[in-house]
Amino acid sequence: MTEPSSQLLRVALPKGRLAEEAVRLFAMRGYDFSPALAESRRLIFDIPSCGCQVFMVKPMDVPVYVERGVCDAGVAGSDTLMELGPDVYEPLDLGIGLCRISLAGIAGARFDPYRGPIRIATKFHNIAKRWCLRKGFAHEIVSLSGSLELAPLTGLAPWIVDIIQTGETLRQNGLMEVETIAPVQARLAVNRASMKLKLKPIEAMISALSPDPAAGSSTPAGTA
Amino acid sequence: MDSRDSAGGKASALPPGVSDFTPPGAGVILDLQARFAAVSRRWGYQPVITPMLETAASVEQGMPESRRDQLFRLVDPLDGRVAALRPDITPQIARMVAQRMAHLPRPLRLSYEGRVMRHRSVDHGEPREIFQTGVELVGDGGIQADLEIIELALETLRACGVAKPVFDLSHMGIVRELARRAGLSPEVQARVWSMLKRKNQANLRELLDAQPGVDAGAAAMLTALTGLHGDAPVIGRAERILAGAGLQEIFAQLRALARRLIKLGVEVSVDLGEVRGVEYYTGPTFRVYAHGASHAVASGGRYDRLMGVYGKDEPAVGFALEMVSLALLQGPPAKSGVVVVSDGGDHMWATIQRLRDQGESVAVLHGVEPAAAQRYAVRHGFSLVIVPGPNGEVSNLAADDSGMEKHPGG
Repeated sequence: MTEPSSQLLRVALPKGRLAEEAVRLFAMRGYDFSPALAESRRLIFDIPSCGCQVFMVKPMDVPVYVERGVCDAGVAGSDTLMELGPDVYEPLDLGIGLCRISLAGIAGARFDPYRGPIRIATKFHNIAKRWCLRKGFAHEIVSLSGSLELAPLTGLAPWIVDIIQTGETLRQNGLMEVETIAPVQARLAVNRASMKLKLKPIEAMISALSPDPAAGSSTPAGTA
Repeated sequence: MDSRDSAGGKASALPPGVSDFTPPGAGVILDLQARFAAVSRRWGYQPVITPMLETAASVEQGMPESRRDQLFRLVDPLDGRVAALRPDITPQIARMVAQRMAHLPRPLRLSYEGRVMRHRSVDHGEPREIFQTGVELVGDGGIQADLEIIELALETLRACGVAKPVFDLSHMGIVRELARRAGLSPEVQARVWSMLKRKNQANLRELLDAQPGVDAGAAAMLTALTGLHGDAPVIGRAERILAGAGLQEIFAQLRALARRLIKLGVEVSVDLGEVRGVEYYTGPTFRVYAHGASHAVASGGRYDRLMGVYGKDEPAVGFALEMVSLALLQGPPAKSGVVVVSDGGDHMWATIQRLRDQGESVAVLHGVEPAAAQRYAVRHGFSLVIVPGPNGEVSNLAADDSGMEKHPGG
């Protein structure tokens, strides 16, 4: 692992909704990752001007790449970090990708968790399970990989645990938010070994991305 | 457990979380252990051997409550009592020291290597059988003991091929003291540890702000710990930010350790928000990272409370290698050793004996063609093939995929 590319800071960005917001934030703080948005099929981009190599990965996979040390740092939703519980540092909330993870169901339906196990369809198995355990609700979790709104409409499960941004998708499907489980935003995740082995460039990145410059530690970004 | 994984497989399948190690991988690990053993012996450490099996009651004594679900328990057929496979060797050494070595002059310098069993989720392929290789220095509470362990760790790692390690220094006295001053309940403290572990400053601040009756000054210091990591000057910054918390002695210890490592030419980082092992460690701790490894390759520190669990309180400090991380850093082992095709003649046996006397690894094949012997040598990592020549002399062949040319006999 001593080839030149490992000298670059390897950064995982989430493909899709959050990618543009993330690239815009990095650009404002001195890291021009815009080439990573230019070509939608390529997955790895060398950006020598700021000493980085950018990997475009599925949002749910960012914590995996960072925890395993394939990437030194990454932009991960706090929802995926909560769900996967990876052994990584999470030093910085990035203030982008703001939304919430909530329990929702058919508009007007009565949420009565004490009449028997509540059946919940979700992509966030662990978050849903932990929330039910904390609340003391008997529960049954149906794991789906998308289009959760369909579950209450078809009777697969009366309740869903899902990401809600504006609530518009819920409304269009005749669903309503019942309870917010946690606010969600994008975070910088950092590999434990990289934090020690690539201290300077990672400190510089954390400091550049910090909303409050005093909170970060040392040198400005873009010097690599 | 998922029944499709276990019951559906063949009866001979391994249980999840344990592995076989075939050549050459097993040899790489044993070679690292041999290098560890050689260095620790030169530093005056003597090996100890502890049993695979202990009574569950004894093991639980030396284990934090939160980890007791990791035990493999079984019923001892002898007396029907509950026994446990050892989950950790250091507490066994603490028990052994109390029971068998109480009368010996201090300090004790002990080394160990073995495997332990810990039950945990294997969803991501985590092993449940874990290699443990390390040393304990018992009965010396001074900073010189911490220094000795750190220097021994450094020398061991260098012997294991880690040329440029990064030593990350921490001190459990800081988080323990700040948590005490803040007056955290055990439940809140557990959540504080989990946020410190991730350096999640925003959530930690939120959590502490929401706790009634928590000392605000100590809470602010706990939150600041998420940012107190970096190179050695962090110690100075921490002294200013954590002033008035009675941590002067701790900072002096950290400075002494950092100074020595820097003097030895080692890259040092400091992480005052580290909480891994906080239930166990009481003083300075360290983790060692190596370029190319995505996990620590060694870790250790001071644990002055464990000995008292089994006998009288005494200070102790130690370190352990992360054998699997270290093994992954090693390149493929160099080809070595000789395959000899014997025709049963005395001169071939004389050659074999001579090579073995020279310390060479010699594998003998009988009645095979030279080409087959070469294939055998390549597949099993031998570097040389010796076959009987047509006139009774001995011929050497290189064991590689391409070369079939003959070398002059010898």
